[in-house]
Amino acid sequence: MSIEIRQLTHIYDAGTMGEIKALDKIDLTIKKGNVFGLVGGIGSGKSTLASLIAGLEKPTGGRITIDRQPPCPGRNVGILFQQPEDFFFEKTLFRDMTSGLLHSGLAEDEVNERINSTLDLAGLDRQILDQSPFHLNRGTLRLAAFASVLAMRPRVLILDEPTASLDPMSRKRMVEVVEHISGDITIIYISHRLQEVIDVSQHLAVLDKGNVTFTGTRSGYLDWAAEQYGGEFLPVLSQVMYSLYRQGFDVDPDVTCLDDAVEQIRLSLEKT
Amino acid sequence: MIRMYGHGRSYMHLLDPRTKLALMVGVSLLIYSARPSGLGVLLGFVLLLSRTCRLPYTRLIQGLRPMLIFFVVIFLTHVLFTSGEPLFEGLPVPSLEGVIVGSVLVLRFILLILYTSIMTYTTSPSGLNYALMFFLRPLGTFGADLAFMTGTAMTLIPGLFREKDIITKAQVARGYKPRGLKGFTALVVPLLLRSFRRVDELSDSLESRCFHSKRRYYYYRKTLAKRDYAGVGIYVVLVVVILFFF
Repeated sequence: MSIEIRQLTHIYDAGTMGEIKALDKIDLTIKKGNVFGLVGGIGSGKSTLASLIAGLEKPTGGRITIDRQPPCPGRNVGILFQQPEDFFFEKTLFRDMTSGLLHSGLAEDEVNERINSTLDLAGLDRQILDQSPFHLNRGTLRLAAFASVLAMRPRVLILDEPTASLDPMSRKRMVEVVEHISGDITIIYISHRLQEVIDVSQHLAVLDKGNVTFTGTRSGYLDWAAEQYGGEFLPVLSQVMYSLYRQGFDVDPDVTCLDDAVEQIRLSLEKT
Repeated sequence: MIRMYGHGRSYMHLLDPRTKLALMVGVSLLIYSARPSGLGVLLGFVLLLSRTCRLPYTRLIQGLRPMLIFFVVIFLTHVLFTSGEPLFEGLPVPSLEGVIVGSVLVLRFILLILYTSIMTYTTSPSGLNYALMFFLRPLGTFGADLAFMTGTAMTLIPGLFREKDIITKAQVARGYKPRGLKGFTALVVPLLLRSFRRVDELSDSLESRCFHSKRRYYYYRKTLAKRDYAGVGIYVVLVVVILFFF
């Protein structure tokens, strides 16, 4: 399930004085089963790109194909919007989570099975299904919204700032679920938290003012970022490892796990 | 009907918001007093304005869509309840007079909405607030509050449409097609939730910045420029042409 993006351009308010070119002739290939990180500043075009890949908007120019098919929301692609907990509307969480699935024409047994399995996957207690979504905390609701998108069994899943305004525990849980499901689903992970994106993604792209300024592997990104900004915006661990590497220590600057970093530094110190 | 403000440097954009608001009232009166042939001239004038401020016709017409049912109801009411020469033999309705009266009235409403769209598209929310406060000054604190409330509401309405789009997309992405009464709930509940939150945040931020109705809102007072007088001149010419020649 690879995603091909070719010459993708999107202009808001086209033809008016206030027209904004959100994306400018973007080319990207996202491989099947990968977690693809998308980073960039505010207004760089990340959310626009997410909406276009999800098939929720028509691009001004260019094309997007998911396994040579156009994107079809709710079928071959799912998207978890920013603050998805705002979109609940039913009296109980169960009714809310099942509404989309029932609309898709699935049998009740199949719907129940999907809801229960995705709730388990998200680490949520099944008892919350009887509660009103308006009485649940934000972290639980975010995971429930995530579960309801997963229950649609999309082959491509777009997560737009999935951990924004979540407490550390809920954030950790969200990242764990993403890591768990990656491999089966192609995930596009959009976040401002560089550490988080680097942790979960195998490939990354950097957007700047509607243009792709970098695309490549995680280690390639760390090299690129170190070269571009002197590592200033890299996660602290990467900055430390790069600094040690430059000072002649025998360490891998691309390491992202704290335990591995400690072990490498220890071995390097023993050698010296 | 109420378009979101689009930044620009057109003649309409550069007009003082007070002039635009005053002309808005003037044009509204003209729309209601013009004869059918005069309405044609006004339609041409509105389309010309839209062209000069680079608001595409398609987007201008989009603003009429929410009012479509209203237009149909008005038109049918006149067609069915206006007596006159029957269009079809043996049937008392529709009458030719009813069709004409209904069409003209719908055209008046369309013109009013199109002109309002152009005005809100070319006037920033703060400019609109300033103009409203200026004209409601005689009412004192009440006038200032009223102007602020109206201006804020007008600023938030396009935001509601944007929110509606986001919510629709989010529900579609969950496999839900917001249609019918059930679809209405799926749209309205999240919309109200997000709107109340937004308004709550807005009021908190205003209070945190010491907003108070008895205080002055603007430090800089605007002065009318030559283009504002030219705008009034164009309006006077339009009035004379439409009322006396059409």
